[in-house]
Amino acid sequence: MVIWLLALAVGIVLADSAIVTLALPEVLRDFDAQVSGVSWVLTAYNLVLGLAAVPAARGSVTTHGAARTGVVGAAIFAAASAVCGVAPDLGWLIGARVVQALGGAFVITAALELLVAATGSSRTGAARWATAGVIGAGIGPVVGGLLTEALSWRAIFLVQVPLVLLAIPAMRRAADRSADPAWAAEAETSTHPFPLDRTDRPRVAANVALGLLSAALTAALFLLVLLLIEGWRRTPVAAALTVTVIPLAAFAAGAVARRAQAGTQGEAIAGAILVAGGLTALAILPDANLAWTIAPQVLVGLGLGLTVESLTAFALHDRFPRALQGGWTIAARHLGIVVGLLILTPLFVADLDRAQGRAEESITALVIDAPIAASEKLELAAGLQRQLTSEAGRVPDLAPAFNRLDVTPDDAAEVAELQASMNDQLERAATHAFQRAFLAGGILALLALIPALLLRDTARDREPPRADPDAPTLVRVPS
Amino acid sequence: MSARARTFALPALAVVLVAAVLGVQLASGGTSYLPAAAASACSAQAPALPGQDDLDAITQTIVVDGVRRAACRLGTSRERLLVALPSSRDRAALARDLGVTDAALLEELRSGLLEAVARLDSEHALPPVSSLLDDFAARLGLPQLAVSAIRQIPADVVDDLLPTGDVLRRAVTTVDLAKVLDGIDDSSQLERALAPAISDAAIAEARERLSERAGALGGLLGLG
Repeated sequence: MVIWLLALAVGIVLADSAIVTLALPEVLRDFDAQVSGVSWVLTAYNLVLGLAAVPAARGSVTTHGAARTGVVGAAIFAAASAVCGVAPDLGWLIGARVVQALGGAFVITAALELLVAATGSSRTGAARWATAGVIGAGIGPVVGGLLTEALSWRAIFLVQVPLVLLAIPAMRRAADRSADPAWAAEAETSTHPFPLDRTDRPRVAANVALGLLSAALTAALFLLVLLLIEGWRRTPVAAALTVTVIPLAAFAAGAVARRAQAGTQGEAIAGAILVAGGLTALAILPDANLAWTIAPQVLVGLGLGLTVESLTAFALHDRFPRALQGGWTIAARHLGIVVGLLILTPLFVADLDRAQGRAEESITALVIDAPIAASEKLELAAGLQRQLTSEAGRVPDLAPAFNRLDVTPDDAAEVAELQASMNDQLERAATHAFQRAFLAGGILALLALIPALLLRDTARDREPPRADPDAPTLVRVPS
Repeated sequence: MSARARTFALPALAVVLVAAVLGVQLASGGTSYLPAAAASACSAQAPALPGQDDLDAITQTIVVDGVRRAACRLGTSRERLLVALPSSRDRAALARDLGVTDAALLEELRSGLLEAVARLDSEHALPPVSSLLDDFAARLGLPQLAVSAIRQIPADVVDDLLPTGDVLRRAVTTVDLAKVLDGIDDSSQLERALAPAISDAAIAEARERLSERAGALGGLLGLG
């Protein structure tokens, strides 16, 4: 149970980097904000988590230090989550997200050391930590979308409060367990303390690859969700169910990796190719049918499953202090996400703006050439103009303009056809607006091939995780 | 399988998977799913007038053709021009983009409308005023007495006094386009702006023709 609760805390902290992705459109409407402003709900969290991970890890190099910082971090994270849930405006929400990320940085780095203590194995503990992070990041948007649809985006933050607080007794328990002589005698960790003065350099290539792939994966999750909800006007539930493909494929990738035994380098290269290919495929969707997003998502999910866990394990392997090395991987991933958001958001916002102008022109052409009465055209044009103005900066919902229209029975069929044609034009324009951003994400994934090619596997990287009697692990500190 | 072969087998499989997905999407039109581009205003066909004596249809045909012609001369699309027309701010922004003044943009629009009327007139596509009389009377809010009085006049005399093309040309030449465009969102305001222009044009046209006839008659009788 201790291991599960610690893994849950890791999953929640990493899920938070993307959990609000599906809720962003609702946050956008609630606070009457712009996409570029709301994207800071994601950016601020990832930026602070990325910057704070390494400093926060310095307090977690020992099991008892990890328990102390972990408890403090969990309390901060829970309090800030509660504030996010009741935030009166966008400024409060972003501010609370900053504090939440600070708490999260303590939780995540402490959890690595505590999971090692709880499992009694450095390798198994690190593997659980990495897996929990991948699962959290993968299913975060789905859970967020379902909560948004069922309750509200605020529920996303409020449900986290008790769940993270549950980790506090688990953290104490893990620390107490490692101090128990009977447990220590059984655990491999007890016999191989690592020297306190040993500080290994982080594995740069693995961390850079993680950062670039995280930037690309942000494109996949953030942009795809916005495309589905804002561009194609699907419900958050439909979007959540659609993007479930990514975590499912990531899960399946584990089986592929075990069978292929390609090693970290092979998995990283294959993963980067898959993520780049998936994003390129998202940039050339043949129409706005959800089914077309499945194959690209499978590619992205397989890439995610092949790379993140394996690169994280590689970055942690034989590197100490473990918490600090874990901090570097968190910093690389989340600063990578920030880079992704900073590159992709302005690109896609500018393209969306251009697409809106183009959609407006194609809608105007349809109105001009529609075989309906001039008075209906004029009324429709005025209604459409009102919709476009009231939803400036977003893909508009044209239905209200048509609902207000007083149509003669003779023109009803033409008007219905006109509405379908306009919606088709809007979907085309929205899909086109995301094209360059998806391609930019694909380029980021391809760039990850460079550090991936620099990785050097050891024979042990090809073996499945197992108890490793030679691995130096914990420093025992008297409680 | 050697360690090196195992390292590169997985990337090779990834390349095959990616190629398959991209191939299917490209074959299904992945690069052509784009919003329709605005057609060039200069190459677009002039709209045909629906074969009915409907003032709405005539107005629509003239406006669509006139905007197309103005857009062609200004070097923009008819859609962009039409989207910008109802708002003075958007009009000014478009005029700036096209390197002309707001007034010049409106004059191009007026020229386009005049050309559209001339085209329909030369094609004898405009219905005679007598067939539009009821519609005109309703829109201009003419008193019933005046409508009855006009109906007493033979149709060919009315059509001779008020040729549709000339009345429309005169109305387009004199109408305050900025005022009409500002009220385009509201059909009652639009009619309030258009009605005086059309009735003034009709009266001026009739007066001018009557005075021409009176002058000719005076000449014939040796009174000139």
